[in-house]
Amino acid sequence: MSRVVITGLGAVTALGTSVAETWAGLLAGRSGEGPVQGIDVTDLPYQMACEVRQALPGAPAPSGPRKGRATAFLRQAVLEALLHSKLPLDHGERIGLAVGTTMGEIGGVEEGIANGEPLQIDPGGIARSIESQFALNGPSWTLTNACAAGNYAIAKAYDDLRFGRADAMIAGGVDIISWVAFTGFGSLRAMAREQCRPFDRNREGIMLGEGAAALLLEPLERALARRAPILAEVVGYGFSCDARHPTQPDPSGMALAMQRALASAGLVPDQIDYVSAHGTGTPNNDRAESQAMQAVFGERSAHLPISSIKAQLGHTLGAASAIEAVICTQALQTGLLPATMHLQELDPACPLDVIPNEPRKAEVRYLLSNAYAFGGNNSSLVLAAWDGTEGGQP
Amino acid sequence: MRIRLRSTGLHLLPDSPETLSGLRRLPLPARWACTAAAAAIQKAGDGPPSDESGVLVATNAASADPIRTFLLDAQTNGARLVNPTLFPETVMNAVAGHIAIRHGLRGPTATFSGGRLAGMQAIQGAIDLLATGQLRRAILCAVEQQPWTQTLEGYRPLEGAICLVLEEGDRSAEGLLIEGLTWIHQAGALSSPGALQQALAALGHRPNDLVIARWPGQPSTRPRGLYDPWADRGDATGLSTFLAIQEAAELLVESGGRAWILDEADGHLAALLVSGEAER
Repeated sequence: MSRVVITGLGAVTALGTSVAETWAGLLAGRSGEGPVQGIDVTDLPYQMACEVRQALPGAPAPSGPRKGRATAFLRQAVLEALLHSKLPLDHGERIGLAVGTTMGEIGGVEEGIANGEPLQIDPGGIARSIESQFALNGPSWTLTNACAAGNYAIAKAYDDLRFGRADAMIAGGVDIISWVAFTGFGSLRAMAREQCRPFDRNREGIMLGEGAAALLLEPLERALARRAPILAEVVGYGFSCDARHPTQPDPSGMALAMQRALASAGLVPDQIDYVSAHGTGTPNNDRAESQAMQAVFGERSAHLPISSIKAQLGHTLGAASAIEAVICTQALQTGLLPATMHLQELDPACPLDVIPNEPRKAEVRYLLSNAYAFGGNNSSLVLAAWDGTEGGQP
Repeated sequence: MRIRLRSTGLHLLPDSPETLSGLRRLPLPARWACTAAAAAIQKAGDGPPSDESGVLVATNAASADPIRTFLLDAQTNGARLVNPTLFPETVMNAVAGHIAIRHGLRGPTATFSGGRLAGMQAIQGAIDLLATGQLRRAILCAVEQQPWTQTLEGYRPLEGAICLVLEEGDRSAEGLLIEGLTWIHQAGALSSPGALQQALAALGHRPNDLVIARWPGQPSTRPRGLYDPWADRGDATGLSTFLAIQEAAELLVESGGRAWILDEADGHLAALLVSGEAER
């Protein structure tokens, strides 16, 4: 099977409409939260979110119509990734798309209902639109695994390339702020009022966010042949299900996904140098993820760098793990690990080496990126620094 | 690797209106899916450990009714007093979670929502997870609810859930053999003899070897001799894909032979080759 490398990145987040802006914002310690503009939250106790406020070509403003917003975000991220990778859109090649999303164009659905139109759900519509706009002619996937959907999309694209079903794949995730999600997380008492503070003793919960990310994946030999910029390598993934409760996380299920990802990559826990946490900032998630880390990494979990960028970008649901994969790739490229902002006092129930408030310089060969979702879905992705070799998987 | 269909479970409306007991709190699509899955899992009998069994769902509309219910509740009781049990059901992958919880299945779960090809996507997902060793038994469930998919162009959907249990099986194992799934990404591939031959060649066969078990195109373009039990329904969701597989199993496991099950949408053609030939 082919080795699979990342040759292009794109992102749209509350910190900017490109990878460079998002990365610079993260390193500078900026946070994307602000009063919600895009939906009416008058009746709700929570008023803040990490919205994309910068105008995008073809995208409605936060306070404008919601229909088409998710597609516009992903289109921008895909365009950036394609330009970054310098991939020529040669129509003789099989270039496919894997999209992870929770609710697709939910903004249009909510607007339609408000206007008395029949409820229509079409999560696959985003992928169809992007494929058509870029004249893609490879595999097509829409994965609706909620807050882990981005990792699922990357894994599917990885499999398509390993099994020779595509010449290149664009994998990404997207979700927008919606009234259903905002009110829903509020109903679960899982939201933060002011700030998201993952792993902090006094954390309240999540800050909802929105955005999109895209990664261009291709077989190593093809990337080398066309002298593409090789940014990182995808070396494995693991999935599991808690099979216990629809919303309460189970550390053993999370640990199982990490162990499967390591096995898939042919690695042992000691080889992992950094973990990008799911780190939503809810009391239950962060505690469960810490216990899972202890189960997988043992005593080393106290010294293994881990951070959550959700403090700055919010929880972008189906986009989250795709954005985190983009940021992990940046970390592998630069040797800078993003921090967990707003961390004042580490929760003793989370005895991990959480990187607080300032990025940390580190040499990273392999890293793990976790994402979990309702329904007990657990996913972990393993990325590696590009080692410059052309042989078998490192 | 050889992948076999171990069993199927159906809960299609209006023929099967009763769901299992203990599911009343769940939205209808989840109830149907859990009922179909329970039947299929029971028929499949003992299998791999629960850590190696996972659930893959194909759906485009499982979250529609839960979203409607959530919004109605908010309208009735106010946004601050929405029933907190409703929101988790508004995500598509809630269905897979419910099946996994009921049967203690800790293998990978995944939900595919690629329109008309969602069923084939779930099958490809299962094949990949079986091939890479992340799964040894895949519980696949297609579930759709009317009228939420009805307004999509060209749909006349079935309603309910169908579950397939796929498992790695050696030569002596029973059940329809999944010989392979191949994809052609070309607009109009269904009406292009070259593309169809390419799909078959990828699976090592010639057209004359096969009975076509499903033709997703217009009836007037159907090849002669086609066997397509669902042509009259005009349905094109994962439900009809899975029904065609079940029909193929009934047709082929006793009589032998191969069938080609086709799905096409939006410039993608999926060709699934199944076989009922006994292997000696």
